[in-house]
Amino acid sequence: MNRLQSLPTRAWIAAGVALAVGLVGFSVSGVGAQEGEIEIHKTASAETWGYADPVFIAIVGTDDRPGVSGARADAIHVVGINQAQHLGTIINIPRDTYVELPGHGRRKINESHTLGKAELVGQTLSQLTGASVGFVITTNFEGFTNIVNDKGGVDIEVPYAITDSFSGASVPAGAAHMSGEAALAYSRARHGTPRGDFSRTSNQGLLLLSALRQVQAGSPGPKDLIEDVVVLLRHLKTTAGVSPADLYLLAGLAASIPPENILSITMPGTTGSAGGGSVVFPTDAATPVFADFADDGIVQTPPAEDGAGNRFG
Amino acid sequence: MPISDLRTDRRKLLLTVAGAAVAIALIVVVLATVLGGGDGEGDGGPPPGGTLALTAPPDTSGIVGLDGQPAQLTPADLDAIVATIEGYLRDATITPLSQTPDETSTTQAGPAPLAAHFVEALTPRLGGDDALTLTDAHLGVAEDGVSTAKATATLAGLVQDGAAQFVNATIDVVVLAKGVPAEDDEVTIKRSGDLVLRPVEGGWKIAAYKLSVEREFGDRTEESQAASPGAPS
Repeated sequence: MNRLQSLPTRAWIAAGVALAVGLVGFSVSGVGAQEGEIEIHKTASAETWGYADPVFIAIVGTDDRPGVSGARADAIHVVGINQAQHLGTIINIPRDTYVELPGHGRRKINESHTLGKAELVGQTLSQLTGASVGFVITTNFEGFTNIVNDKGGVDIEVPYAITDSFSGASVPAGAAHMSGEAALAYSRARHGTPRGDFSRTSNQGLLLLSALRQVQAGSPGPKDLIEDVVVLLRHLKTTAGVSPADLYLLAGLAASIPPENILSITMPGTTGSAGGGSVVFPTDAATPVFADFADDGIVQTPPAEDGAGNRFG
Repeated sequence: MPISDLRTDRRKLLLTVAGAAVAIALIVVVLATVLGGGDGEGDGGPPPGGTLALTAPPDTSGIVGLDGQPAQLTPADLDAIVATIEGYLRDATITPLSQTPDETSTTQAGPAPLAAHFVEALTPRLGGDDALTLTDAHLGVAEDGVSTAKATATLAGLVQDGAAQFVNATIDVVVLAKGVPAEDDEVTIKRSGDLVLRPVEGGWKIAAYKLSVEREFGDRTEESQAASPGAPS
């Protein structure tokens, strides 16, 4: 029996807990992941900020895989949780967003992980959004795939059909049950979508909410969450400063906000060229969205829903 | 010395010893009431302070190790955890209900006594809306006494390499307060929910909470809830 098979089936809920707020649910739910495939990093700002409302967590998927060096941040999301109001927001950041990386000048935001790992990702997102990101949860292709497969797949309502030979996605519109491989292909699909990189990052947000819905389905109590933390600890690559108590509190966060109370909003932006490549520039409309998000984790006046589950600024 | 004088001196000595014994006994009673009595039940007035002790040993069956199997807290950790729980409950309910407002810094000078039991990041919440659930300070002094009917804690948590990492304490506490200003009647206060404790600087502090309170005033019941980020759902 391999390690994946030996894991308690429900354990991934816990991990999911940690991952909870959506992607968190999947990214952090590391149950199916091998050791080191999931990393939770506590940023420097979290040391003094603690767990006061709101809590901001970055969820990052990297393209780390055999044959690829210098893993970039392929999926980037900032989750704001306001437990007092039982509301939350996922801000989806296109990976080609062109921003100032602290200490490295203007570059694509996906390079932040290559240059400074989770700490620089957290710093960059804090600077971009104004929200004090306390934790950065990172997983890679294999970790993501294993987590989803360990859970037995993820149920998602696909807003429109996608066929992308580059990512391997071939998904009809409507209710779908995706394996880890299919979910990864869906989350990476950019071609054949209405808005390219914007659609891709928005679809990742939908996937996160679907994962959170499954994570919370078990209504985990304290003993369940502790069991989840125990499982997570066996498979997690933590960095200094992340304690088991932190994981338990993150798990509590993940379990505390109903998915229907979480809005998924994609950063307002426009495409252009910089540094010899295609990039995404945040538009002026991004400024009030970020400011609204940063003060309490809630976007009071969100962009309109487009009928397909997406909210583009 | 005549025998009658010896008898008189012995009688005086006996009376002196007896008087001293009575005085010492009175002092002991007074000290016991002031320092430890606490519940004020039936003593005709509010004590100036008090304690709140768990009415049963905490259930620690939810403590596990990294292998997921049952584990034990060290006696020192268990004592410290219980002390934090009892200290919070004392300063949340017994102290403010037992002291006059001038003596209760919780209501007069901010949540300082309460804050000692929480991690620093939670301090701002203690004086905000959550205070209605976290403490009974707003009820005023229970002129006819305060008593603890029930105070239990069920502990779940993780022990790693012999050291406790965190503990979730599910508490269930019932306090009776008689003669509070608003009602001039008995109030039954039922406080329950979860406290997440973590080791901080050699002690244990509350890092998250999700609590509910029911205050039964005879003909009506007031309910409130409060939760901080990270408390279990």
